[in-house]
Formats: sequence, structure tokens, C-alpha cells
Amino acid sequence: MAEDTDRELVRRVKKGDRAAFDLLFSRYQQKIQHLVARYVRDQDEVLDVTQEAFIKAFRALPRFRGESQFYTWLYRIAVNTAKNYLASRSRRPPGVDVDIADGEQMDGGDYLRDVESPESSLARDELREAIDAAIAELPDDLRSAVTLREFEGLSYEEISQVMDCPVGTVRSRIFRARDTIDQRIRPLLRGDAE
Amino acid sequence: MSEKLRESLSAAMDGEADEFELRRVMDEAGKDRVLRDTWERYHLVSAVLAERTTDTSLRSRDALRTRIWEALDYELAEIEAENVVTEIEAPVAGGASSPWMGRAVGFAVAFGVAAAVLFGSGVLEEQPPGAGVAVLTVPDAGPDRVDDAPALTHEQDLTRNNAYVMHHVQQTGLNAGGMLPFVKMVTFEKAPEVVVADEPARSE
Repeated sequence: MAEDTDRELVRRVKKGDRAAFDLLFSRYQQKIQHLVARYVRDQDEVLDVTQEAFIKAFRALPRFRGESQFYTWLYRIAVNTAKNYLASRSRRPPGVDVDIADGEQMDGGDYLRDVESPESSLARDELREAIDAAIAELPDDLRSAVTLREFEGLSYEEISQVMDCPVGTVRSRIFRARDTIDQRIRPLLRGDAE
Repeated sequence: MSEKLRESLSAAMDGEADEFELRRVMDEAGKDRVLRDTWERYHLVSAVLAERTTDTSLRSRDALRTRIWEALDYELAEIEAENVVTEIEAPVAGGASSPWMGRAVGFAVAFGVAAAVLFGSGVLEEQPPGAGVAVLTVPDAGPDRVDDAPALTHEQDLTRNNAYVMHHVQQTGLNAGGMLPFVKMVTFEKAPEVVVADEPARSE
């Protein structure tokens, strides 16, 4: 379960493991930033609110008892931070809260184009094209496995039933697909990271 | 970074790694920046496919991460500084209930108990070898021999010796700590009655 990974990371952060917090950040930064962008339109403000949400989460982590899923907890912190940010600037938050399912929604929406700079939009499109091309070139079994995982969100067990193969094979196929995509996108990101 | 580790990382990302594997890969990721970068890219691909990215730049992501840590480090440094001030002020405000006093009192009590045990056991070890249940066989001195001077002196010695031995056996029983010596002592208290009962027969 994904919660097991989060639980392990949270346990490590509570023990003072900074790398574990970095892993949690990498895991949820895009989701949280995407969520915040539904409340705040300016890209700099989105970054400020995202930063504040992660800082608040880090501070509150010792009190997180794991009764809810980590992402649900982090999501609430992010929504409250965004609403407080808007209130502090005498701006009204959206009338209805962004539902956690909407936060996960795969629809980019116009608001995303408001938030993104032309450069980041171009970089994202370029990255998306590279990923799509890499997926298209994958052997059928790898493409099916990674598609069922990434687009349908199926578990390895469910994918093994759909593809009629052992769970270990599913796991291996998903990894090999990811590794191939990773090799394809690394040159695009290398210049960016340096 | 081995292929097996990257496969474990992929499974951990999906929450499909078993507990042992999860801990191992997290341990490695904590030490290995390359593995953490791979983790980041796997999640980035996932986010791009799900169209929930506002910025795919790793540079801006690193900048955000740095800003978060700077803010947290600043906060932690402030908390530590406050703690140092509190510790310096504590002895004045705390008085006798300070941790130092608590430790000193504890040490004094422990020293007292240790000294009593060592001193007490030392005294008991100096007892004469005759101290024991064997003295039950020593004949009691009866008042019927008071007119015989030499015999009387001998009898008095025996009585004194017996009383002395009895006293030490009682002390041994009380201080030995175990249940058995205490039982022996209780048995010994009844012994003189038996000895006295037998005495007339032996005098004859």
C-alpha cells in the first residue's frame, strides 16, 4: 500500500531524518502545488503557499498520529494555508473547497495556463512529448503495465489479474517501463538541474 | 545504484514494496543522492502523465526545497537558542528541585544503603565458628550445681557461652536475608525446653 511508504517516511522524519522529508517533498510537491494553484493564480504566490504548507506540515508532523492517510492530512494543511493566505490579503477563497478528488483530477484546466509561465509551459509540453514518445516505443507488455498503473491507478495485484501474469512480473514490467522513460527524459532535465 | 535498488524504489513509489525492502531502499535513498533524484524523476513523470504539474523544472523545485529548509533551519536555531537560555536560568528558578540536587540526594541514599550492607555483613562474618545450630547439643546449666565452686564456674561459663551463641544465631537469622536462617532461629528458641527436659536424666 502507498500508505506504507508514507508511514515509513513519516516515521523517519519524526526521528530527524531530513532525507526522508526530502523524499516526502518530492512525492507530494507537484500534487500540493497543483492543488494550491486552484486557490492562488500567481506562480510566485503558488510557490510561497506551497512552501508554507510544507513548513507547517513539518512542524505538525510530530503530532501526526497516522489515523488518516498522510496525503489527506497534508492536503488539509495545504487547503487551510491557501485559504489563510487569501484571507490575509483580503481576497476571497473559492466558494466551495477543492475536493480531494478534484485535486487529483487529470484535467489541467485553464487555471494551469494562468499559473504557468510560457517557459515552464514549454518545458512541460516538451517533457510530456518525450514521455509519450517513450511510452509509445515500449514493448506491449511494458506499455500495458505502466499504463494500467499510471493512468488507471490499478494495484499490482489488479494489473496481474488484468494481464494474467504473476505480481512479480507486473512489478518488473512497471520498473523497466519507468527506467526506459527515465533514460529518455534525463537529458531534458539535466540542463535544467545544472 | 543497482537495478534491483531502482526496482525497489519503483515498487516503494507505488506502495508495493514489502516492509524489509521498503526500509532498505529508504536507508539507501537517505545516503544516495542519485537514488533520490531517480525517485524525484519517477514522481515527476507520474505527475506529468496525470497532468498535475505547474512547473516541471527541477531547478525551481530545488529552489523551493532549499527555501523550505532555510526557513525550518532558522526556526530550529531559534528554538535551540531559547532552550539554551532556559537551561542557564533553570538552576536559579528550580532551587532544590533541580536535576543536580536530585542526583546528589540519590547518590547519598545509595551510599548509605551500600555502607550499611557492607558494614553489617562485615560484623556477621566475624562471628565465632561455633555459632550455629550445633550448639543445641550443649547441656544447659542447672541451678542444682551452685554449691560446687569449680563446677559452678564451669557451668557459668557454659551458660554465658550458650547465651552468647544463642544471641549470635538469632542475629544471623535476622540478618541473613534468606528464609532458611530465620526458620532455624525460630527452631532454636524452642530447643532449651527440650534440653532442660533431658537434663535430669543426664545428671543422674
